[in-house]
Amino acid sequence: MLSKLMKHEFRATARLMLPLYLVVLLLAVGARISVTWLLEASFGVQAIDFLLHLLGVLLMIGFGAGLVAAVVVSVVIMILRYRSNLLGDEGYVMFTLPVSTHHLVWSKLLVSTVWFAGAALVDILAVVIVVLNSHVFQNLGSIISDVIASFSAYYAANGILLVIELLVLLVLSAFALCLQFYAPLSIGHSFDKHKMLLSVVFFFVIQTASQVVSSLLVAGSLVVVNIGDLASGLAPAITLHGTLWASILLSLLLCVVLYIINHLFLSRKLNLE
Amino acid sequence: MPWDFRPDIPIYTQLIDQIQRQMVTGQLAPGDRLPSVRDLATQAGVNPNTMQRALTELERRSLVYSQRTSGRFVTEDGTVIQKLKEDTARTQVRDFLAGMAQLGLTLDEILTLIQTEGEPI
Amino acid sequence: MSILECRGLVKRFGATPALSGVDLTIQPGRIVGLLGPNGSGKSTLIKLANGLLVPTAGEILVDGKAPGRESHAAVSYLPERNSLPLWMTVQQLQDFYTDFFPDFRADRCRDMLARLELQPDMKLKHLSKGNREKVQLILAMSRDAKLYLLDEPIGGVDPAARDYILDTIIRNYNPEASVIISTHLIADVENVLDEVVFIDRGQIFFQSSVDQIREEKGKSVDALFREVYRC
Repeated sequence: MLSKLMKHEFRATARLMLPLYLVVLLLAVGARISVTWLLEASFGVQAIDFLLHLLGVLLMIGFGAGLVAAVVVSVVIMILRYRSNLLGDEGYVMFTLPVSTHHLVWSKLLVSTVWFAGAALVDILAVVIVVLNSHVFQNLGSIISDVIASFSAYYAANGILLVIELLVLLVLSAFALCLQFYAPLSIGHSFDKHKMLLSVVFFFVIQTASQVVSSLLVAGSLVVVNIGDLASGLAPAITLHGTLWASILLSLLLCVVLYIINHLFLSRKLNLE
Repeated sequence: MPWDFRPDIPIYTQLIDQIQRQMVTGQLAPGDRLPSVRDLATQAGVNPNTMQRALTELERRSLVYSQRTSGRFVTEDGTVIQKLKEDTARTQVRDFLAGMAQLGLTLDEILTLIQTEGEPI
Repeated sequence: MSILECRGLVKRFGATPALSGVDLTIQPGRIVGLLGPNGSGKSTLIKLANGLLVPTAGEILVDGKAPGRESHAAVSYLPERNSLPLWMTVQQLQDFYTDFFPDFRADRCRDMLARLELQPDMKLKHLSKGNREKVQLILAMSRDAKLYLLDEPIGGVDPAARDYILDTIIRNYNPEASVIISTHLIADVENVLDEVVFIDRGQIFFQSSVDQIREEKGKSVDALFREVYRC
């Protein structure tokens, strides 16, 4: 049933996300025109030049806004979608489907994560559209392998492992980002009144709590590892992998705790209007 | 025909009365096939279980019979319908007489009234 | 076996009691009116049966099971207000029901929608309020469920729509199934009911067959209801 839930979740969100991606890419094309032509334009007529330069600047601003919007809108849609589909009127349909509450939440988590990744790729692609020239394009392959090689050399680390670690961390961070909104929304909407206001309050409560706990954990682990050892020259590779693994564990812990809280409120305290 | 229900009598007895009336007046002829329970219930705007109950009672009274495969039919036995007609007439006369008695009319007065009012027929 | 069973069912919202000790048994094959004034606990009972609320105390069993995944597969629920996503088209809604409910009869649904001249590519948000309600009803009644829970299906509709709704319910419910219709408009539904359950201030104080009420009391359920709730 998870796959069917995801299918319908994609159907519901694609109609917003795909046009958003398209707009960002179109803004990138606009910025490219701006960079290669508008900003350099010189017809010798001051008024026309001024207008073209102005247009170029506006397109660049639009491009910058587009890059930010791709990410911000993805997050906003993730939040609104959870609230309207599960905690609003549509919840009457969703929570009476013959599916488990776990699947309802996971379908949202996975689909949101896919859209975040999509937004990141679209942003990268947009930047590439603007800055790419034939020289960079021809050397793209060697540039990437140079980067990986220098990483591996400096940190004496396995470049592939590094990439995997980073990917795991990114996915967990995406889940954590979602759950940081899902949990307070589920808690806030379990009350009879002021559902949204209480959701905001619980968002800040959870943020504060998770920051306090994570700083304590980081501080604690530093004591255990012994700062002296670190300073006196652990290999940079170990430091890097260690930091990544610590971050992964921290994100995982945050995800698990928030997921359990969220599930308890959805399964025991559901209170649709 | 429109189905109308009084609020103070069980619906299934009213269904029986109204279907019997259709038989007596010839709206339902002997041997006619009745619609399905669900269709009849929908027409009358009543619960299928109630319609089922009424039809079962009509079957018990030998006014309709069912054939396993093809549905329910009005009885082809003319005497049963004739008897139903007489019973219906008798009931209506009784109701009529009861109403007249309430008005305080004597039997003679009632008969006279019937004769004058009945002339155009 | 009963299709719906409540034993000592209690639901409180904070300190406010919504249901206080409900014992109720509904047998299969009946159309039951859950009757009571606004705020009497009708919706709370229906939400509990759907697992949308969790009991404070006591027990509720649907088809022998506590509300959850399995019971959802046996229950067709019509919420009080539209809860279908407005951006969806009529066709997408049918796909949705087909995907999640194995007992959904798509051909029956298509026929009913076609009779209302609702095209598959129409979006719910472009339909009139009345047609939205009908689409939701058609989807609910296109399932061969064991229990239909219809929360105020005829609240605030005109007489023609009311007839359409009752007609659709009678025509489609499966004879082994039970239908529970919650409403405060008794005169409108009385003729289609087998049985009535009167609920007030979170308690059930009367359950009887409609014909029995008429036989024993010589009055309609509506008249009885008005009498009972006057005091």
